[in-house]
Amino acid sequence: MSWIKLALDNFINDSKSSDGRLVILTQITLILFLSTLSLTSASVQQYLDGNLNNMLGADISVSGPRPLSNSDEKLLADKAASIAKVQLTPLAISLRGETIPVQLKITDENYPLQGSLKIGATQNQTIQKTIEHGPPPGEIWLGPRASSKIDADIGDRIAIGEETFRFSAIIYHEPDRLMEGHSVAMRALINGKSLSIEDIKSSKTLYRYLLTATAGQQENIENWVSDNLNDFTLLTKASGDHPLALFWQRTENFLGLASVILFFLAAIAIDMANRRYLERQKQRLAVYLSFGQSLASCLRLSLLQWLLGFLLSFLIAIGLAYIAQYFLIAQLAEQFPGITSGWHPATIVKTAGLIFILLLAFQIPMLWQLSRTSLVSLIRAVAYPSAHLLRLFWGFASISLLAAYYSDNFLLTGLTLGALGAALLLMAILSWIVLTAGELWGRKYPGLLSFNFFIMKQRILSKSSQILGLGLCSLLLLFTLMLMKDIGATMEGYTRANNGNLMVAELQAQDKPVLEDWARRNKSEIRQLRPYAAAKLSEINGLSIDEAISTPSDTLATVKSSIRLNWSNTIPSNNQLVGGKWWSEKEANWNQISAEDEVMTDLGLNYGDQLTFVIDGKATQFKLVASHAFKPGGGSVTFWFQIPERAIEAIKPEVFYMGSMELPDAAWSKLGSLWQNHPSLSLVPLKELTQRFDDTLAMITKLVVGYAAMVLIMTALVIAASMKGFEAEDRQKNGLLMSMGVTKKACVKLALYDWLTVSLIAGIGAISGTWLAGVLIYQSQFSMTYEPDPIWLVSTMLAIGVTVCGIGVIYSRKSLSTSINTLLSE
Amino acid sequence: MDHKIELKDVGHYFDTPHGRISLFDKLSLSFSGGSTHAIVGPSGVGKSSLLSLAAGLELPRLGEIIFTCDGEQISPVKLRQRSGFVFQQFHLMQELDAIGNIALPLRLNGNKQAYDIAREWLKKINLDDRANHKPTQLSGGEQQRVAIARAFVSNPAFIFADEPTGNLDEATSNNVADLMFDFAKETGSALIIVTHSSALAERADNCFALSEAHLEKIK
Repeated sequence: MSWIKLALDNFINDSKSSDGRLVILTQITLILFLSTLSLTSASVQQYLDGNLNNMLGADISVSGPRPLSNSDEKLLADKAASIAKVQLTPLAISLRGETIPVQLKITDENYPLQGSLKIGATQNQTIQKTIEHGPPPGEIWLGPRASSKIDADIGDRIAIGEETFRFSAIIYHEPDRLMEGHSVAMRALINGKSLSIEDIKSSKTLYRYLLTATAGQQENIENWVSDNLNDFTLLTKASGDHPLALFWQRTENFLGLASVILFFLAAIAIDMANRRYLERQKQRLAVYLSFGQSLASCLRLSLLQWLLGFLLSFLIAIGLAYIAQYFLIAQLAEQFPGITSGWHPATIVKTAGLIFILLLAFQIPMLWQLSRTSLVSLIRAVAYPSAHLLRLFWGFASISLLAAYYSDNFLLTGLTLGALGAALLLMAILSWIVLTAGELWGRKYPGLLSFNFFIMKQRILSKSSQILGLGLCSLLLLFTLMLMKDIGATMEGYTRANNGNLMVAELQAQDKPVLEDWARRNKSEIRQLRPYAAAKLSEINGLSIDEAISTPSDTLATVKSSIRLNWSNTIPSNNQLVGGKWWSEKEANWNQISAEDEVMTDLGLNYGDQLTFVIDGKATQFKLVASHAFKPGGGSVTFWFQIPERAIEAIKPEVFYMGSMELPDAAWSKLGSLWQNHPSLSLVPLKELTQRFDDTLAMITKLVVGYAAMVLIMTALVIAASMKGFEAEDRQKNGLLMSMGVTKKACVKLALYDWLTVSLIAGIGAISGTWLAGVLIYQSQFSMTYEPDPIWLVSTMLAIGVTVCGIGVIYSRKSLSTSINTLLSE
Repeated sequence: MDHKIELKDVGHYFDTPHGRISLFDKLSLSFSGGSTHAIVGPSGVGKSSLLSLAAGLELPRLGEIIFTCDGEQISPVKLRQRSGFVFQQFHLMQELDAIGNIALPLRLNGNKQAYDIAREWLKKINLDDRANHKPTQLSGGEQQRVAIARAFVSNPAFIFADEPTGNLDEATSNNVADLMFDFAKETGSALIIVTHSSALAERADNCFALSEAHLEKIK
C-alpha cells in the first residue's frame, strides 16, 4: 500500500511540473480522440447490426434492375417459405400545384415478411403506431420530409400523374429501409394494386424480392441466384454486408489513418516531454537505490506511477469522449435515422487495452534507460547509453502496429508512413549537412551566427530530435490543411461545373418529345440531352466483381449497382481520349467499350479486359479498348462507360436520356404541371443539387475541421514539449554566456538564430514530405490530381515557421531573466 | 556487531576512447563494523571510486571484495539494503519537504510510522521547525543535515559519505561532522568517509591516505 501511496505522491509531484502536465494533456487528447472514434463506430455498428438483424424485413433480399420473369419468380417462390415483392421507383408527386420528387416504394400485400412498419398521423415522431402491412389500395403514405415539403395533411389527395391517392399516414420506419444505402431521397409508400406499375419505367427502378427461408433453403436460393441472376444482388442476415456497412467501413478506415497520424504526434510530444522527466526519474531512482532498494522495485514504482498517470488521463478522456460521442451521433442522425449513442463497455475496454499497450510501448525505451540507473551517478558523472535508436525503432514499430490494427487499406497507410519516413530521413541528413557546413563556415567567420552553428553542432543529437519533431508536426499540419483545401475546392468544382439551371436526371424515350415541346413553349433551352441504357457490370474477365476486385473504392460501390451506359461513334465533345483506340463508325465489331480513366484506375482495369454488362436482363460482353476523361467546355454530362452506336442497334435496350436545361424565371412555375403529367420525369433544379453538394461538403468540412483542430492541438503540445524539453539546456547556455559578459540582446539574437535554423530545416522537410505525400496519395487514394501550389505551401509553412520562431524567442527572453541566478543556484 | 568489508589486492581502471586511466592497483584494506573510517588524498587519485567499490556499487577490475554482515558473507545487493549514503551534492528530492525526505527510506520499506520517526530525527538535527520546507528553502548546511538524517534513519550497518562537507563552510562543516560522528556512535553504524578535510579525517577511528603510488594507513 505504501508503494501505491508513494507512487501517487510522486505522480502528484510530477504533475505539478510543466513536463508532467504536458504528458497528461497529450495522453488525454489522444485517448479522447481514439475513444470518441471507437464509441461512435460502436454506436454506428450497433445500429447497422440492429438493422440487419431486426430490420431486413426478411431472411433474404434479392434485388436487381429488372423484374424477374414469371417462371423465375415462381421458381424463387417455390424455393422459399414466403415471398414479398417490392418495387422502388423515383417519381414525382403533386398536391395543390406543388410537385416534389420522391422515392416511391410499391409493395404487395405480403410486405414486410418480418419486422413491422411504424406510422403516425402527425409530424411528431413520438406518436407512432406499429403495423404489420403496407398501405391498402387507394392510399399513399409519405415520409416525414416529403409530407412537410409538399405541405400535406392526412386526408389530402396526392396525385401521381392522372391518378390521386388518399394520404393516410406518415411512414416513420420500414424494415428494409436501410437496404437503400445512405439515400436521403424523400419517400412514399403505395400498394401495388393502386398503380399500374408496368407504365412506370426508370433506369433507377429497383426490383426487390424479400424471402423467408430455412437455412437449407437459403443455401439453395443463394446457389440458384448466383448461377442464374448475375445482375441481382443477394443479401442475407447472416452475411452482414449491408450497403451502409461498407460506407461506414471506408469512413472508419480514413479515421483510422487519422488516428495513426495523431498517435505519431502524441509519440513525439511524449518523447520530448519525457527527456527532462527521464533525468528527474533517474535521479529519483538513484536516490532510492542509495536507501537499499532493489532496481526491480524502483522500476516497479516507476511503472506504477506511469499507470496512475494513464488512469487519470483515461478517466478524464473517457468522460469527455462520451460527451463528444453524444454530439457526434446527433450530427450523424441524418445519415443514420434513429441512431442513438450508447455506453459500449466492451468497446471501451478494447480501446483502453490498445491505447494502454501502445502508451506502455512508448515507455519501454525509457524503462530500459531507467534500468541502467546507477547509484554511482550520484557520486560521479556516469555516461548513460543513449537510447536514440531504440526510441526511434520502438516508436516506429508501435505506430506501424497501430496502423495495421486500424487500417485495412495498407496501401494508404504504407504510403503515408513512407512519406513520413522519407521526410524524416531528409531532415536528419539536412540537419547534419547544415550544422556541419555552418560550423565549418563559422571557423573562418567568428561571430554570433557561427557560435550558434557551433553550439548546435555540439548538441546535434538533441537538436535533431527537436528538428524532426517540429518537422513532422509541420508536415502533418501542412498535409491536413492542404487536403482540406483541395477536397473543398474539388467539391466546389463539381458543384459549379453543371450547365443550365435544371438537371434532367432521367427522361424516358417517349417523354423526350414532350419535354422538347414544353421547352419550346416556355422559352427554355435544352442544353444537352444524351441517351443511355441502364446496365449492370456483372463480370470482369469471366470473374464476378467481388472475385475480380478486392480494393474498396467509391467507384466499386457504385458499379455494384446499376450504372448508365452511353453510346457514341465519335468521342463526345466534352470528352478526350486518354489511352487506347476509339472505334470507327464503319467497324462491324460493336463489342467494344471505353471506360473513364479514373474508373479504370479505381477498378484496376486494363485494355483488353472483357467486361460483361447485363442490359435489360441480357448479358453482353465488351472488350475494353479505350479510356476517356472529362474535358470542360462541352457540357457537364459525361459517362463512365461508352460503347459504339452499333451495339445499341443490336441490343435494343430501353433508352433513357439525361442532360441539362436553362429555364427563364417565368418557366419555373410551369414546371409543376409538366411533372404532374409525367411523374417519371426526374428533374433536379440546380439550386437543390447545389444544396445536396453543400450538405455533403458541409459534413466533410466538419469532419476535416474537427480533425485539423485535433492536429493543431497536438502540434501545439509538441511545440510546447520541444520548448520545455530543451529549456534546461538553453537556460544553462544563456546563463554561461551572460556570465561571460554577453548582453541579453545578443542572447536573444542567438536564440533567434537557433530557432531560425531549426524552423528552416523542419520547414524544408515538411514541404518536401507534403509534396511527396501529395504525389503518392492524392491520385491513388482520393482520385484527385495533385497540383502542388508552391506559393500556398511556402506561405503556410512560413506562417507556421514565424509562429514557432516567435514563440521560441519570446520564451527564450522570458528564461533569460533568471538564467544567471539559476546557474548560480545550480 | 560482526560487519566487515574487506578489499583484497583490488585494482581499478577505466577504458576511454583515448586510452586507459589507471586508478590504483593491489590495494588491500578492511572496514570493520561499528567504527569510523576516513579516506583522504588529492583529487583524481580515485577516492570516490574506492568508495563505490567498498559500497558494492561497482565491481573491481582486479582482486576481490568480501562483504560480511552479522558474520555471514553477503552479496553487494544485500549490502545495499544495509547501507546509507551521504553525498557532496546532498541529492535531496526537490519535490519533497524536509520531513518527507527523511521519511522516504522508511516509507519505501513499508514502515507505517515513517513520519513519526522522521520527526524524531528532525529534532535530532535541530530542524523540527523546518519540517515542511522544501530543499530550495534550506541552506546548504541544512540540506546536508537532512541528508544525514535520511541516511541514518533506517539504521544501516554502513554509512558511505562522499565529501560530505565539500560544499560547506568550516563552521557548518564542523556541525555536520559532529552530527555524523554522533549518529554513528549512537546507532552503531560504521561510517566510511571520503574527504579532503584533514580535520574531518582526524575524527575517524581509522584513516587511510590514498595517493597515486599507494594506500597508507595513517591512523
